[in-house]
Amino acid sequence: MADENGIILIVISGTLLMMLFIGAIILFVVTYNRKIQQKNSEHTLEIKNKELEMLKKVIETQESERDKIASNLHDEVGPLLSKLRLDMSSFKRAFDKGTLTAEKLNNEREFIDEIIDNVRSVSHDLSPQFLLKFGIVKAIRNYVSNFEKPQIAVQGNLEQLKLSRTISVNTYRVLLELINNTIKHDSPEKMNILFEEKACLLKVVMEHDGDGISNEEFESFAKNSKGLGLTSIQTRIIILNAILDFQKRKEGMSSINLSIPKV
Amino acid sequence: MSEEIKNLVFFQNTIVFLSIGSGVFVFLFFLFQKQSEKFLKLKWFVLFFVFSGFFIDLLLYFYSAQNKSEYFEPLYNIYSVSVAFSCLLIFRQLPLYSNFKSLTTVVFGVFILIFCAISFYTRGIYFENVYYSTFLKFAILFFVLYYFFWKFNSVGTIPITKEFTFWFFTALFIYFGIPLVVTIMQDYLGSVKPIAFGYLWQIMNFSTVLFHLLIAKMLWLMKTE
Repeated sequence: MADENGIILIVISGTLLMMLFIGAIILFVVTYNRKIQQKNSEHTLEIKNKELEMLKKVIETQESERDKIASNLHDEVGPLLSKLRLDMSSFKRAFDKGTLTAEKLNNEREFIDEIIDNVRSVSHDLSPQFLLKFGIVKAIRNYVSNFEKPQIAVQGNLEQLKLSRTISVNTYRVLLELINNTIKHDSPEKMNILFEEKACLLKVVMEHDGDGISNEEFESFAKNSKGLGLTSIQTRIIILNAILDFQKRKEGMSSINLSIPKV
Repeated sequence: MSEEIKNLVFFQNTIVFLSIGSGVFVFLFFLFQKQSEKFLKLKWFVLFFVFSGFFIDLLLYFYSAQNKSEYFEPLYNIYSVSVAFSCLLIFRQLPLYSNFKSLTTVVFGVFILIFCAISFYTRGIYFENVYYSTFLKFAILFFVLYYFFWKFNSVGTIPITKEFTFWFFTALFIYFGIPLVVTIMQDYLGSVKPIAFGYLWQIMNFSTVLFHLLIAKMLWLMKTE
């Protein structure tokens, strides 16, 4: 009799244990799933926000470049063409009077050359043809050849390097912005730009004897700056999936390292 | 009829009434709910699963009322085959990954073949071996735990409680899990303590009520799929 009661007790407690086990498993799976879902949705929101921010930066950069081109056309080419129009009127009057000389015409030809240079410069801003034709190293070498101070040496023989148009143009713009900013804010005496190919990366090291900035300072400047230069660098770095690293000088040279995936 | 048996019959009738009521609720739910074309096959298979058990329970109830015995082996055997067959059909229709489906098809398919060969051919339909039906329950519980383990490792885009498969597996877990100890011990208890077993057997009916309600929840979620 006692044995039979014991069996019933075992059945009841076994059933209760099963109920607890089932309840615990279901509760655990549901709670765990809910937690993971919440984490995922937060992560998705974060990614979306980042994408939005990037899109905003891209649009801002585009707008800034359009403004720059418009202002170049308006301020540089516009007045020159107006002056050319006035010159033409005066030439007509001089021609009628018979006072038009070859010297005046020569001066005017030089003036037209200046207009052509300006148009070329605007066109270069729109699409750097030299870069697309001769590659990133030669384009940078060509660009820095215009500077008298600081002395800028470009090293690296990457004639065979083939990059897509997007990578070339974005890298070129980033480098131009970095060179200009360094010259403007650090006033270095010397600057070396070294191009290297490492496995699937294009590495560019810019060394200069200015004070330089740290990564934290760059982030802070980019956040607080009203200009779009630093934002443009950040946007292009994201587009290139590249890594930009600033090393502030303690002793010797400051440097800026740029690692760009070639594909 | 002794007072003890009268009490048991009253208790049993109450739980059976609840079980029948919840079954009818599922049926009405299915009948009046607007059906979407998607998963229509699955809905019919689930309905077959629920109502094969429901009608066998009803038949057993009437049989026991007339013959003063809870046992009628052929019905239990038919019930085991119908459960295995329903699971085979339902698992193939559920949105699970293909290896899972193949495994369930093989396990339930082999079970049906062996069970039919033994129950209907070798030993006869009047012979009920509780170990076969227990194996079936363990197999189903194994797949339920496998599902939960799978869900534990893969996170979808919607919460698990909004997936109808979750409610189906929860229903199976409760239906076969809670009365597992009672069903394993049913032969022994039925012979030595029939009254106590009569009470304990109501755990099975109680889990059936929960099963019906969870299936209704599953059908509700399938509507929105």
